Formats: sequence, C-alpha cells, structure tokens
Amino acid sequence: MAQMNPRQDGARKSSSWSAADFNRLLAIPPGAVLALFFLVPIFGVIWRSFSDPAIGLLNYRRLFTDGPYLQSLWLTITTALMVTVLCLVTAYPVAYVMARARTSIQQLIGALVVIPLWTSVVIRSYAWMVVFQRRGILNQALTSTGLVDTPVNFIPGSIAVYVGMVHIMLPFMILPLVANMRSIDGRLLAAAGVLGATPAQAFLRIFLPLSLPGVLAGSALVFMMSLGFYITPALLGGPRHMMAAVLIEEQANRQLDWGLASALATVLLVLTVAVYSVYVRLSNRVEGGLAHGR
Amino acid sequence: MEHRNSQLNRRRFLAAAGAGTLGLATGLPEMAQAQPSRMVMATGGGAIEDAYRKTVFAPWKEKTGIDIITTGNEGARLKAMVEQGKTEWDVLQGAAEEVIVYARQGLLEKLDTSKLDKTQMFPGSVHEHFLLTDFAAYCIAWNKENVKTNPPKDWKELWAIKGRIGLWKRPFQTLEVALLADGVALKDLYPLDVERALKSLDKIKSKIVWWARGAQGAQLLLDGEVEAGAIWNGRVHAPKLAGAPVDFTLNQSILVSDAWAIPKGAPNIAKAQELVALGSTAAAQAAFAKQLPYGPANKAALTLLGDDIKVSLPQPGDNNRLLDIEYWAANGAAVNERFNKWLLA
Repeated sequence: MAQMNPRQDGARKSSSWSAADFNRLLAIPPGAVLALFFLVPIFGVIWRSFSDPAIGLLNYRRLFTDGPYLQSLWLTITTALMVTVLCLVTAYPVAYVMARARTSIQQLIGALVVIPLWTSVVIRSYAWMVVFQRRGILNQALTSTGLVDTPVNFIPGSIAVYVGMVHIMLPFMILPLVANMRSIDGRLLAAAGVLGATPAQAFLRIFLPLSLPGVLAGSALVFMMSLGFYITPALLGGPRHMMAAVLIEEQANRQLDWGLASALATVLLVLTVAVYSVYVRLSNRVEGGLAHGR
Repeated sequence: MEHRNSQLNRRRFLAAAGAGTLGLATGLPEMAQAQPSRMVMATGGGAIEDAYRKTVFAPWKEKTGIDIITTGNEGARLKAMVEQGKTEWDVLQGAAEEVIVYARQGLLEKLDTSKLDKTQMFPGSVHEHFLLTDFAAYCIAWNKENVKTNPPKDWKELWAIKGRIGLWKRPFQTLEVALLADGVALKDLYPLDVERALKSLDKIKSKIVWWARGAQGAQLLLDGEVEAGAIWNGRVHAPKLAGAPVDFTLNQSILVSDAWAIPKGAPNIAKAQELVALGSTAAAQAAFAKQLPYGPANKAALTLLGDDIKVSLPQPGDNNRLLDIEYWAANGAAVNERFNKWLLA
C-alpha cells in the first residue's frame, strides 16, 4: 500500500485512491445512519415546535411569556453548571493520580471509575435516597458521633442532588481528563525541575495549561449531559430542582402536547449546540496557544 | 396507571422487544385474516400486570387459545403509533385521567358496550372510548413509629400534623386534597378552585416532601422519612399486612381508576373488544380484587367477594370522591402549568 502516508496525498494523481478518500468513504455508513435515525427525527422535532397545533411561534410564546418553563430552564442550566464544576474539582486529582500511576494501579482505578456505569441511573438514585434519608446511614453516622442532635433532612435538597448527579457524571469527566493527561510528556515536568521550578510551579505553569484541552472536553461533556438529567433530581431534589426534562416528559407523555414538548426540547438543543460551539472555539484557542508555545 | 403501580424491569423490556418483533411477524398480509395466536396489551407493568395475568389473561387463553404479550403503556408511543398508522397494541390499560386525554385526541377506537350490563357498573365508569375497571384511593397514610398517637383522620388533620408530609408532585388529586384540607366539602370539589388549593398548599409548603413516583412515596412512609402523607392504598396495603410500621385511612380519599381501551387501528379490534368485555366481567374483577386492594367497577363482583376482602376495597361512597376526569381532560393542561409555576415560585 504505497498511499499509506497521507502527507504524500498532494503529490498523487487524483485517479488513484488516497488515504483521505478512503477515510471519507469509511465515514459514509455511520454518517448515513446518523442522518437517518438522528438528524431527520431532530428536524422533525424542530419543525413540530413551529407547526403543532398551528404554524407560527405559538409554542415559543407560551414558553417565554408565562408559566414555569423559563424558570425551569434556568434551574436546569444552573444545576448542570454546578454539577460540572463539582465534577471537575473531584475528577481532576483522580485523573492526575491515574494518569501518572503504574499501569496496574491505573487499571484498578479505571475499573473503579467505570464499574458504577453498569448500574442503572434509577437504581443508583434510589441508593442515594437510602444513604441520605432521615434514618439513612449518613444520618446514623452523624447522630451517633454526636455531630448533630437530630437527623438532617438531606432529602429533598441540593446536597443530595449534587452528590447523586456528580456520582453519575464523574466517569465522563475523569476519562477525557486521563486521556489528555496521559499525552502530557512527563519529561517537560522533569525539565522544569532541572531548570529550578518547584513542583507547584511546574504543575501550575506546565501541567495545568497542558491539561486544559481535557478539562474543556470533560466539562463540555458533563454539562451537556447534565442538561438532560431527569430521574436523579426528581428523586433527590425538591421543586427547586425541577429540570426541563421533567416538563418535556410531562408534555410529551401525559398531556400529549407535542408542540410544546418539541419547543422545550428545541430550546435545550439550541443551548447544547451553543455550549458545544463555545467548547470548540475555546479548545481551538487553547490548542493553538499550546502549539505556539504560550 | 404508571405511577400507581409500575416498575420498569427487564422482563417488561423483553416483553416490549418481543412485541416489536411480533409486530413484524403479524404484519405479513396472509396472516391478517387468521385468528391471532398472540395479542399485545400495554400496561403499567409491575403488580397490576401480574394481577391481570392471573385474573384476565389466563382465562382468556383458556377461552380463545390466544396469548397476551404485554408492553409499557407510554402515551407518547401510542400517539406516535396512531400517527404513523402502525398500531401494535390491541388493548391498553392506563390511568383514567390519562386515557381520557387519549380519547379526546382521537387515539382510541369506540368500545362495543352492547353486551355490557350497564346497570351493574358504578356511575361514571362506562365511556364511549374506555371503561373504568377499578377504584384505587389516594388516601392518608402515616408512619406508626413517627405518629404514635392521634393519627390524622382527615386531610385537615394531616395538614396540621407536626413534621413532614409526603405528597405527589402532580396536580391531579393533590389539589383536590388541598381543598379538602381547607374545608371544602367532598361534594363541592369540582370545578376546582385552583388558587384556593395552592393557598392551602402554601400553608404547609415547608413541611412537604414531594414524591414523583408511587414506589418512592410509599418508601418515604415506610422508612419514616415523612411523618405522614398521601399515597395510593395499593402501595401501603401489603406492607401494612406484612408488619411494616405504616397505617392508612380511606376516609375522604380521592378515588382514581384504571381504564381499559382499544387504540385506534389496533391489529385485532374484534378480539380486543372481547378481551375488554372479559376484563369487565364480575368474575374477572372479583378475582382481580383478591390480588390487589382495588374496588371493582362492576358492582356484581362485590357479591362474589367475602367481607374480609371487601373491607379494604375503595368503593364510591359518601366518604370519598371519584376523580373528575372530565374536569381534568378539559383543564389539565392549564392547571398543570399553573401548578408547576407555583412549585417553582
């Protein structure tokens, strides 16, 4: 296979196959599947939000003028943001240790991170209910050690919601971070040490900037996934955590008002796309910066 | 009646997957004329599906040789199937206040009630597109370890209780009991005075622990997470008998129903009519009431039951009120929006 090296593409005659052509060809089947089973339905949803029950902005007027929808969207965004920040703070040290550990330790931590994914989100949310309830193990520990006199009402509450959601989202933050941190050349840190940097300096000025692409990727992933959260806030949180997904389900499945449900879903989609485009811009800039040795 | 009874489980998922494949198989034209070997019924799953299996599906199989396959009863799926003209369900069961929405949206076939003895059915249980099959009670329950003396006898006393109160995070039934707690008489409930109900809820807002699912609401009571609260009787009946620290009263309860209906364009409409008819017979409903503590819609079923069973069955009467599904069908969207706005305020 002479055309293995893509760098030679430019010199090749167009009649013969290049690796880029081959890659493009490979992308056709998944692209077609995505278009057929993902894009077409999504455009259907968007179209419905403008056409059901009548053509126009009826549903959006309902969303943006009155009712619980704007408030719920705002709660959704702030909850997702909070979960992202908490995930990042928790995941970063784990990923750091994991990326720099021996292979066997790395595999062990990796397993511990991934295994919770095997249990359904509903079951994990119920499990957190058991932990956080009045006679749950957390309260038992708090009262028996004398830290509090009467059990704390964690449910419904923000602490329970954040712990439950962060628990579910952690792998999606840790894995991109680890992938990124593993690609950071350890010799750069050694070199910084040789040149007189303290470990803290080396971390802050070498490692942290180099890990930003992982931070951005993990944060974008967690934020976008958290926007669609449904069951965990419903079980662990009060009305202050009524996510947009709950309202969408209500309209789609119970009121059967698909126009309004589609409009809500479209707004969430626009939000997600907006976050994604910010992510793309930022990560281009970060990587551009890194490439220019900033 | 997804919330009142359901549990998502693997078996149900497999049943749904099976039903999907079955749809492919029975879709072949040469098989359309023949008697079906299987029919599909959409249910809320869990305990209620097990009860149907024993009390309706088994006699049906004996009578006709037809197996019933079950699948989940999501309203969105029904609407999508009918819109696409590819209905896979023959019969569906759901909460009456949801099924009436399906009927208003034109998603259901008309029922053949010509052979039904309507004099035997409780008033309000026979509709053009669906039949009520049972009565469950949204009732007052309490944890016996948290509330040792003077348990609440009515909603007013529940509101006054010291401690936390579990309520369903949906307007249906919750607004009704809020009005009862505020002194409205059972007979004067409808049309609901929504603002008054919300003011009544305002008074206990800091004490409320909202639950989203029936299993969760029951668990709050069983674990003593709340002192007392509202729950469907079927959720606490068995735990109470098994010795859990929970008790309840049916006084002033709001009765809610399961409804059976036939989706528009069902594959085997004639057979589906027969199955719905079988489900509303006295024999089937009496057998059902022995499985789950829900009162029969067919009064004749009561004559087949002993007093020991009957005492725990909710039946329309002076100390309760049947949920006005006509009211909710007409006002549900607006009231739901108002309720959610209040929740988030």
